[in-house]
Amino acid sequence: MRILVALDEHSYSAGIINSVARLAANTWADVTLLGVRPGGAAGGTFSMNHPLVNTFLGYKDDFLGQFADSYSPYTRQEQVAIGENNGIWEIPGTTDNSRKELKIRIRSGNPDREILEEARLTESDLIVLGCSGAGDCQWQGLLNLPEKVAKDASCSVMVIKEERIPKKIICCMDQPSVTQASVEMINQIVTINEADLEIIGLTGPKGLKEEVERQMDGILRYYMAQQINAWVKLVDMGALEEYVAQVSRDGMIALWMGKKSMLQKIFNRDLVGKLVTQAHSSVLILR
Amino acid sequence: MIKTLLSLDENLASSIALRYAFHQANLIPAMKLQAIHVEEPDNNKKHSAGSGWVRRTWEKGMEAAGADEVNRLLKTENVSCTFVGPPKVFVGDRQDEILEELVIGGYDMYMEGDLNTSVVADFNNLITSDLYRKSPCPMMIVKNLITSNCAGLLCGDGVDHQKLITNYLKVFKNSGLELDLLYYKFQENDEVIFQDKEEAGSILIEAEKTLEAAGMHARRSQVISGSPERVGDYLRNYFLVASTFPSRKGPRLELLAHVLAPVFLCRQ
Repeated sequence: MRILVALDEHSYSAGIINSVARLAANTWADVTLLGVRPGGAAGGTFSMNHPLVNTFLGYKDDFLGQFADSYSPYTRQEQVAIGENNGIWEIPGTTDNSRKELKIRIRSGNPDREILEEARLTESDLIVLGCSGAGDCQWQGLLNLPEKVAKDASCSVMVIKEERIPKKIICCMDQPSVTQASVEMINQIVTINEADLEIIGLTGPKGLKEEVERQMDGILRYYMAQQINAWVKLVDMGALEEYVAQVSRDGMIALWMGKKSMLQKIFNRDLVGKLVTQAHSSVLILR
Repeated sequence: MIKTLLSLDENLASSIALRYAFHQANLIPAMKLQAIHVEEPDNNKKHSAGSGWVRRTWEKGMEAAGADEVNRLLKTENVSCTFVGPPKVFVGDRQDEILEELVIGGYDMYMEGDLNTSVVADFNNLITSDLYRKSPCPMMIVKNLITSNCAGLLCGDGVDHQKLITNYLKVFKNSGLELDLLYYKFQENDEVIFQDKEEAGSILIEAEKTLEAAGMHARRSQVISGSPERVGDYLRNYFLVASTFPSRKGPRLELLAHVLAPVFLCRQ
């Protein structure tokens, strides 16, 4: 698994490092800490002394500090070396023989485009980013960046809205083609947060699709075998938006949005953006 | 012996109900399960049933298909609880056939799976259906597979707590389940608020006395306030929530519709 963590120098970014480290510890993921500085002259010259480098080195230390050395899949690179390739600066955080990789990458340009481009180039499975307050999910000085990333990414996206630990994870599904990776990702998030799990089957005019019901059954069995408290519930597609608004107060919403998913239609790009912006909780878009 | 009729189809709701029944039968050694399945003829094809030997052959075919369905489910679940006999399979109207079996068989409880929609009208339609209205025994609606060790008895709002406790104990007295006495107060509130039992007037205190007279005691008695959605969500961890059939559309009906735990309903 490869996790791309998009960060800036503000507290909402610093606040997600612990969550990312816990997720990485449970998934043994390769992790990239990505920063984006303004392009062109506005970005100024870049060197080891740039404030962004110091901030990211601090993030790296915080991340590695979450692992007890003997159990860490990340072998710390003690020497800090910065390299540049095609205008992208990179600082390895782990040694070459580390079981899992941690690195810092600094790009320049339009932040949301650069984040999406980095995710595409590195074939990331998940983009994680934080944002300001629950009701107004923003990055300072960049209008609707989390929303844009959530809408346009081709991989899964997790927007961590606050440090509050969710009491339950609410997973909505309407199609049977749920990948094992996404099931496992939910498993890890539930485990990390010691949360309950609610599996929501979305019903249409003809009720719950038979194949979705079978998938729910399989997923329920899987989670119960993992000793995870899981409940099932049916929600009508038409009432989904209202339901999501209601339950996002104390839970994390996860939407399975595969290619065949009706959620793609219900939660069209604008609505995904709305969910990211307005939900009280963190949001996980599974693709 | 506590005779329980368990309705099974080949779907997720039945799968959950079967596993829950298995768990329940482990708690209550006196519980004896009887599975039932009703094959409903396709309404669009009802004229194909014919008459005489044609009809008999058709019914036998339907029964065989139904038996296969239940056996597949039992095999898949591989639960080791003892059934009193092979699944009973009937062809006809589901509610009529189950009701007839409940009346003839002298069951102590009926159990079926029903995936929760939280739509109050759906829940109301279920509990006001002929099967539920005319049932001679308490009904258990299994919405989720819960394995906790505490049941909640929902009193107040017209509940005859003596009848509720009597019916509950008839089935669950020797289950080892702990008991909470609950009184629900509707409030348009995003938070669930807990208050002392005195807030329910004398209801919870009297219910405690009734329990004590039956040799049981409540782990706690409390008043819970909040919206039906919020409180229903809070009650999710109970092994079951027991109450009497709501006689009208009101907060208790809404709460029971939203509860994610299995619901045990008895008549008063």
